[in-house]
Amino acid sequence: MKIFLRSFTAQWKLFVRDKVNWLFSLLVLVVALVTNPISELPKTTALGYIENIARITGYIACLLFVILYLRFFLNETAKGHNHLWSRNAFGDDYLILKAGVGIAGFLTLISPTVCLTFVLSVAFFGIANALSAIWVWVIILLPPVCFVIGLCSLIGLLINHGLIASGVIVIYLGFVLARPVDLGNLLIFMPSLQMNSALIGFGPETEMLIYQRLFYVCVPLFLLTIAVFITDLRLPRVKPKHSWIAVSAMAVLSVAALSLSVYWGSKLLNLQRLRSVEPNLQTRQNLESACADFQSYRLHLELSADGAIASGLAEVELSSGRDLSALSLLNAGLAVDRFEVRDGDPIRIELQYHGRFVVPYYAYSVYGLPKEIEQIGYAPGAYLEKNLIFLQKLGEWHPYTLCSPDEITLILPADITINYNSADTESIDGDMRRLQWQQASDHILLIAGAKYQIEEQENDQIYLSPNPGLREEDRNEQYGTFFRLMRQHLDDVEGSGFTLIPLPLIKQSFLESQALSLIIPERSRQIDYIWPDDMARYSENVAMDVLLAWWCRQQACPDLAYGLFSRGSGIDYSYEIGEEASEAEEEDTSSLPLLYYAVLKLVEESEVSGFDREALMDSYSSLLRNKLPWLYSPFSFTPKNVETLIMLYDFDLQYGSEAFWDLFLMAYEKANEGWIEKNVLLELIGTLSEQTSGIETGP
Amino acid sequence: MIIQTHSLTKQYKAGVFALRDVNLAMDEGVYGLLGPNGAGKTTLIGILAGLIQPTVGRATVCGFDTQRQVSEVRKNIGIIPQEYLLYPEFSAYEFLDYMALLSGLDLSRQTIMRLLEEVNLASVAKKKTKSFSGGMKQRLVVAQALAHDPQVLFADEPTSGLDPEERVRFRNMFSDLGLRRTVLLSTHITEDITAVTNRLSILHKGRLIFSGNIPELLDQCRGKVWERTVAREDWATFKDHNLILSFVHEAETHSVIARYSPLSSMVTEGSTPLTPNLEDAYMLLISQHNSEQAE
Repeated sequence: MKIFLRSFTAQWKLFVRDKVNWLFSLLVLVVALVTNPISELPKTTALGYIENIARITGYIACLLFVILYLRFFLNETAKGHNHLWSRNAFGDDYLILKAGVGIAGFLTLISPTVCLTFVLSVAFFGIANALSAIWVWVIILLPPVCFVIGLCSLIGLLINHGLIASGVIVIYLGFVLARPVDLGNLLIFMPSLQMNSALIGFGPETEMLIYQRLFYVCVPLFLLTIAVFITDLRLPRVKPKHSWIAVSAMAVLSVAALSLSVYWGSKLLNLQRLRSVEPNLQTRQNLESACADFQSYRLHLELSADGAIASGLAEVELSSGRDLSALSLLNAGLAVDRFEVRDGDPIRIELQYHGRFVVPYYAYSVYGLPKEIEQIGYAPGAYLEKNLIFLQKLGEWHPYTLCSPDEITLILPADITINYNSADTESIDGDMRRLQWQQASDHILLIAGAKYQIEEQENDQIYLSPNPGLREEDRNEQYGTFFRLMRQHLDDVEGSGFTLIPLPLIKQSFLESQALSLIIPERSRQIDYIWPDDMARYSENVAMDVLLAWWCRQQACPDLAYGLFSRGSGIDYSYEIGEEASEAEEEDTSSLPLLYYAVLKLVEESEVSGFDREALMDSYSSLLRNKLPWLYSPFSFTPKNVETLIMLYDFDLQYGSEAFWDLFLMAYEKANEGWIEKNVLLELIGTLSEQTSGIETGP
Repeated sequence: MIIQTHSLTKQYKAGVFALRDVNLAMDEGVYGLLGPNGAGKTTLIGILAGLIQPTVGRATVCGFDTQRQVSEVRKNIGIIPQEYLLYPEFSAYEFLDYMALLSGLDLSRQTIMRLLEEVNLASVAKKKTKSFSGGMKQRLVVAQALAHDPQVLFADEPTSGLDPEERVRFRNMFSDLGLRRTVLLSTHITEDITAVTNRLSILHKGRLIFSGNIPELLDQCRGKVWERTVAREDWATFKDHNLILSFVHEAETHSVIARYSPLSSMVTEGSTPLTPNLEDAYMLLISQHNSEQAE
């Protein structure tokens, strides 16, 4: 072992003394600094910052490190170095030594980047956040580097020519990296962008990421064990007789690595299959009409400690002979154990199921989805994992997803922290908790998360998701501020405080007025993107969530949310309204500029740095004057909506802020499922102008 | 015997024989291994060092089988290769330290410095090998071969590319090394061999065509080497009928002074008999072997 360690040190010295390798190090550092300028740091988080650098480093490493490592790996395999190969310790440990030094060498070369980013992280985000981001390096970088080393060792031995082997591998890696992102594609050895929500500690991709990373730890191990066998054939030496223990151990390791690769790979593919299911729009439509025939619908559910549905039972009483067998919208991860129909009057149907709830990809994807899918909102209606349990009344956690249950019984381990529940009765029996709803009227049944942090703000409570990836001050600024401002201007609920709950998956915010809970999308998923546009834009997003929750109340208004948060770009959160919204123009989308202008007012009031409402409105006016196409608009409003926006601005300037908020409240009263027509808005403006100035104004 | 081979044969996939039925026996002392490029010298050393597997036959070094007891063989041999990697970023000291380590030894500083002194490199112990001259590099290669004090030393073309002074230094070094070791000096430079040993084996096209003492070989050639001055116009014809060992053009007399061996039993008139040297003997032997093969 001593000799191995000293040999390791000697080879490591050789690696790090090679000046060419430090060009790679310098390149990584320069790329890290150029793509993540220090001036942008105040706008992001430690996790986001490190994740971004680790990703860029990972891509460079995968391509350039191949050349460096192969050069190093094949250094001694050229003909004629018999003085080395005739030494016992050299040939016997060659492969393992080189692979180990490859990893250590890589870590050494990226250490300037790691150190610099760590120092910057400490300076900008504090030591605790900087330390917590270290594992992001490990998760993102180590598996691909191991893979590259395993692949290079194997291909290098087979081809035994640095340049040709490098070419082959770089072409392969380049091809893989250039492929369209596909979560379950086993060729993708760098975690895809969507997987990064897992890096913040929770989210639907966590499991995928774990399988993917485990797969890419086992695959290089397998490649290396194959390389060990090839070493005996290809390297310039007569193999010494291996002990049967060594041969058996290597064979076992090889088989184990292969088996585990297959195991994790198949789990990943299976999960991918479950995630990629699409909503069955036809069944949804049929089920909606079937719900009316339900005389009663009772659910009995038992959750295990890790969030799996240990057993679920749905009991339906039907007044007519409608066939329900094809109307189940049960989540793809749940398996039906029993489906029984008992004839009689009423007909009784029992459906028993169990399994792990898998949130389908369409439910949370920010990539372009068909409008009809976007508009069904968060159809799964549930999120069930160890540290985060979220149940809406309507959701795919029960078979007849769109039918409102008359009675729900939920049994779950008592040690799961309940943050919010709307149950009628609650009891604890031993180590299990029993929650029961009769005619559940609330949309939100349960929110439980062991790691949720609770912040009290005067009367209000904010449940912060675990490690939300936001800086401390941002949480209050972004969530609390808009929440308070909104209540100040619009609150029609007197008395007790609100609860604000950011959740990672829901696509649109939600106001549960009975429980006074405001549930808004967890915006820390901005970490998915290269940079949030800027703090002003980010604030606008959060303000929009808060305002939309108020505007839509308990009724979901997916059309409106879709108009405001187009998911088409896939690049960042923005309010860009694409072609879909232009089509909706005929249906009058005046609610969009109204809500947007209200958001601008909230952001201005919150004094977010870099935000200039007047400049923004000037740019819109200029667009209108010069008849520039809508794509020049900051938020790509249609000309008609820009017109409305300018009109609201003028009204605000003329009659003051109070008048605007009155207008907003009145518009809310007149809105139909969130939408208000332009002529109604003009009427309201006219009425308010009259009342405020006493002068009659035309629309 | 320290080194012994029994019907050693190495055949590559294309059907080319690198070695054919080679039987050798070597004890302590310096042995010369002579042969043209491609004769199979490096293959023979590779097999003896346990780096190449023979197709047929076996070899032992220090009593250990080179195929079945590779680890033991490697402990007892040192190699001075024809092509070598000195790790340019290492100093001479670090290089030796690492080489000893690869042989399973953790050498003390004094031992490493003594080794460097032996090859006259102690003063540059801390210098990186990339700054070394060809001779210095070659000396360091010798030092690495001696780092684990092996019983057998294989030197594959150790003096090629060295200046005359370094070459003399190396010859002396090998003479010394042969006092208590077996040194197999593989080369195609005959002076290197005559300077350090009397014992010689000659490989040609994979076959061992001579193994014995140099005087024995020279005796075989006695009476076969002549010198004659040939007019330049007759030179072409003369070359066709004789094996030219060496020649010098005489500008003043428009003639050629040739050292030669007649291809027939007839010696050209006017020739003077010469005492053959190793180079003559080697050339004659190779020529004879080629003729036999052609027949």
